[in-house]
Order: sequence, then structure tokens, then C-alpha cells
Amino acid sequence: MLRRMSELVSSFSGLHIASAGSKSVVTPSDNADLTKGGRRNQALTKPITIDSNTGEVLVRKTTGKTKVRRGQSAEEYKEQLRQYFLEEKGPTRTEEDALKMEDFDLLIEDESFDYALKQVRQKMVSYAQKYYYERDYMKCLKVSEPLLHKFEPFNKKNKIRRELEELRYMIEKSKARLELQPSR
Amino acid sequence: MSLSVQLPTAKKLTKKNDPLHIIKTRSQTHCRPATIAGPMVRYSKLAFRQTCRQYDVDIVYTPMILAREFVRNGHARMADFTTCDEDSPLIVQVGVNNVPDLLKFTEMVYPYCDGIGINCGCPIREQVREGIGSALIYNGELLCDMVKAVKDKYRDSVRLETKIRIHDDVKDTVKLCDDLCEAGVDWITVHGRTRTTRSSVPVNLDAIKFIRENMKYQDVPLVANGDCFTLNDCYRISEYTKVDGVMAVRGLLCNPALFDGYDKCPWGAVELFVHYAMQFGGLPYQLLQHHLYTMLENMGLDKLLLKELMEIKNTAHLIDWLDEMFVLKRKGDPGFSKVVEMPFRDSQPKI
Ligand SMILES: Cc1cc2nc3c(=O)[nH]c(=O)nc-3n(C[C@H](O)[C@H](O)[C@H](O)COP(=O)(O)O)c2cc1C
Repeated sequence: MLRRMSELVSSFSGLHIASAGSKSVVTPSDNADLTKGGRRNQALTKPITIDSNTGEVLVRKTTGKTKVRRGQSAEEYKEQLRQYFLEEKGPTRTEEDALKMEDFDLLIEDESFDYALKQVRQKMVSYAQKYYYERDYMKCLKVSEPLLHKFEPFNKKNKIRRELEELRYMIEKSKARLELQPSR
Repeated sequence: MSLSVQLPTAKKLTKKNDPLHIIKTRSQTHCRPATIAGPMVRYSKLAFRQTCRQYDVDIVYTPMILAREFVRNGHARMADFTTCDEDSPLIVQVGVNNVPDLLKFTEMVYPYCDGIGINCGCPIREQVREGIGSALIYNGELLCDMVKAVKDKYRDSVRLETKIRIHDDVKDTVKLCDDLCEAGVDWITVHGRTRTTRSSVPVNLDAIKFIRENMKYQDVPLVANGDCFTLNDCYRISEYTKVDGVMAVRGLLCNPALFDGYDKCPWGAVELFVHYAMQFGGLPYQLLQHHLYTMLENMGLDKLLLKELMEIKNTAHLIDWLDEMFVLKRKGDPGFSKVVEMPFRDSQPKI
């Protein structure tokens, strides 16, 4: 079903809102914000920085509650910097032509990969999609079949049915096209 | 904050990638305003950004990334920011409501981009309640504190922009802009709508013009945003408001080639977008499908075929559908990305 763009945006924006670690406090006068500017539910909040080292802030909700967004200690941030710069090596970089068979061969052998994670499955299935798009059906088959085996055990309650269907689709089509053009 | 390991060095800002230099000089070097692809939550991902770059876009934004999440959570980082060598000039846009989060975010991001932009325009209620997005234009003190903190620390090695909406009284916006300049902002993008104006209401170009004319800091560039759907719009907006750059957003979503003078999305843009999406991988299927929908709708594809497209359930099937309906060239095929009209496989165009 096609959804309107505004709906897509608002549903997406909800994904990122910090919730963990927030405490709720009700203060009696907060409801005054409700009709500020004559716009119900559009009241503005001015976050108050409680701790200027950690970034702990108090935000006032239109529901009459205030919430504390927990700060981040220097140690916690240091650990994130370590993870980000040393382990993650900065943001993910994906150059053109970066999805290479050699890498796939290594990744598929990697036992530490957690196929329960959607991001991991998405990354791995990208190899199959790329070869399919490039009409390299031999390589597409070579990656789709092991991926199907890796994915299947995670199809609890049929949750990743669509992903399995796509892999089966690519396998079936690749086989048929290879039969038609055995040289590829 | 110190770290026992070496932090990457800042990306060097040169005439090629310094967004401030580009915005200030395009009128002399190219006889046109700087052209900017603005931020879109969900949509301004790498494959789309790279597609826009093929069509006379000078500067491209990422979607808004929430600083609070980015500096605390590796999964958020992985989902929110992917880049590549060719992804430049790039502005990473941030949603933020306090100085420490912005300083941390800047430290983590600036080696991988050419500038940072603070979102002061997002009207989504959940964000406004957090004091993020358009709430910031009513909290000029905090916004200026954030700008000042980054510019005091990084000076000219980090470019910092603010993307604001206008106030009900545009004189308040002039005051905010002057305060931002005082705090050291490098340039300001003005979306000519208030916090509550719907996007269907035409953008208020008179307000942008008024701001440009009345700001004390005439040397700080302004970029106009709102309702740029064609190259003609771009010239018209810049001539009327006297700004240095024009930012398009919804227009580019359906026609990434608009700044190159195409009034409708050329087929080549579809080929490029599919190419990049397949090369980079990782684009959620619904996004791929939605991008293609908006581009093909803009090209005038028949409604029944658009409906057919939306019923397709996965990437492989979508590629087969494109190949069945059209001649979809791959990189390396002669004429890849150069075709303008929809190349239907059968001779009857379905429009
Ligand atoms: C789908 C969508 C997502 C958006 N996401 C952002 C965003 O992340 N950050 C931002 O500053 N503005 C965002 N905006 C607002 C646009 O950047 C822009 O200011 C607005 O659409 C007006 O420009 P236009 O008339 O060229 O579309 C978004 C708009 C749309 C339609």
C-alpha cells in the first residue's frame, strides 16, 4: 500500500527518539504550555541543560510531564570514541564495486555473524541482489544458496518469509537463465 | 575529551569541497547560485545523494541524524550514516538540543564530511517537544550557544550551517540571523515557511528577501529553501531574494536532475539510482521502491503501472519488472544514464 510521504516521515521520526533512561516527573503548572501560541499540542519546549558536561537535559512535555534525558559521562563517551574510531573505523564506507566475491566468501564463513540481525541479513543479501542486477547469474546462485541456508533457521513465526522468498526467487530465476545461456 | 588513540585528522577544506567557498563564489564562476540538495529523513541516503551529484548539484545533505543517539549507540551510527570517497561536498545534518552532544557529534563526524548543519526547521511534534528542530528558532540563546561552542573550538576547520524556518514576525528571524552571525555561523539556510505553515502553502520569498536586505551581516551567505522544482525556479528564487544559493528538496526527490535543466526526471536518473543502490547495497527495499515510484510518477508513467510497481515485494523482482517494461542499461552499456525519455520495451508508451 502506498503511504503518503508525510505519514512515512512521521512514522520514521518516531524510531529515533530517545527513551531509554528517561524519568518522568509531573509538575502541576506544566499544562500551561498546552495552548501556548494558541496551538494545541504544538507548544514549544526549551530544554534545560542540567549538566553541561554530560549533556543531561530536562525537557518539558506538553502532557504536563517533564523528562530527564540522561547524560553521558566522560568514560561512556570515551568508550564510544574507542568503538567508533578503532573498531568501526568511522562511518560505514561503501565504495562502488566494493561488494566483492572474495569478501563474501570470507563473511559467509564468519561464525560471529548474527543472522538474527536484519542489518546483517540486508548486507549479505546485497551481494546476491547486485549479481542478479548485473545478470551474473552464476555468482548470484553462488551467494544465494548458502544465504538461504543461513537465513532459514531464523524464520521464526514466518517473520523473514519475504527475505526467503526473494532468495528462492533469485535461485530459481538464476538457474533458469543459466540453462538458457549456459555460457554465463 | 582525550583519547589514547589518534583521532583522524580533519578533512582539508579546499576550493573543491569547502561549502562556504562554493556558496560564495558560484555566482562569479558559474553565473548561477549554488545548487543544494537539502536533507530528507529516510531519503537522502548515499545512493540518492550520489545520483543527485551527477546533475549539477554543488552540495548535498544527509538526512537529520540525532546527536544524542549517534554519540551513544553504535547501531544508530551504522543505520544513520554511510558514506564513500565520492560523497563530497557533504553536509551532515544534526538534530540536537544541547552543547555537549553537539561538540561530541562534531568530533565524531567532521573528519568524514565537509560541513555540519543544525536542523532548526523540523516541525515533527516528537522532535519539537525535545527542543530539537523548529523549536530552536524560538530558543535563539541555546542555538547561538551551540554555534559558538563549535566555531570557537574548530574555527575555520569546520563549516557550520543552520537551517531555519521563519517566524510569524519576520523581524524576529532577522534578529536570529544576526545573532547567529555574531556566534560565528558560516551560512544560513532559510526555509521560507513558519513552523506551522503546510508545505502546500507557497513559500514566502518576500520574507527571505526581507531577511537578506535587513541583516546586519551582509557578508554571511544565505541559501533560500522552498518550492524549487525546476532550474527556472532556482534562478527566479535567487534573483528575487538575492541569496547566494538555492536548496531543493521535494523537487529533487522526484527529479534528481532538476538543477541540470531537466523539467522532468530523465530516465538516466533511474538507471543511475538503481546502479548506486545495487553497488552500495543495504538500502531497505521500501525505500528503493518509493524512490522509483516518485521518479516514474514524475515522468508521467501510467497509474496502473505505478500500482503494479507498488505491488512488487522485493528487489530482485523489481529489477525483473524494470527489465520487462523498459530498457534498463547497466554501467558499461553504451549510453548508460544518458537516455531521457522512458525507453519502453514495446512501442506503445504507457503514459
Ligand atoms: C520527506 C521529507 C523529509 C524531510 N527531512 C528533513 C530533514 O531531515 N531535515 C530538515 O532540515 N528538513 C527536512 N525536510 C524539509 C526539507 O528539507 C525542506 O525544508 C522542505 O521540504 C521545503 O523544501 P522543498 O519545497 O524544496 O521541498 C524534509 C522534507 C520532506 C518532504
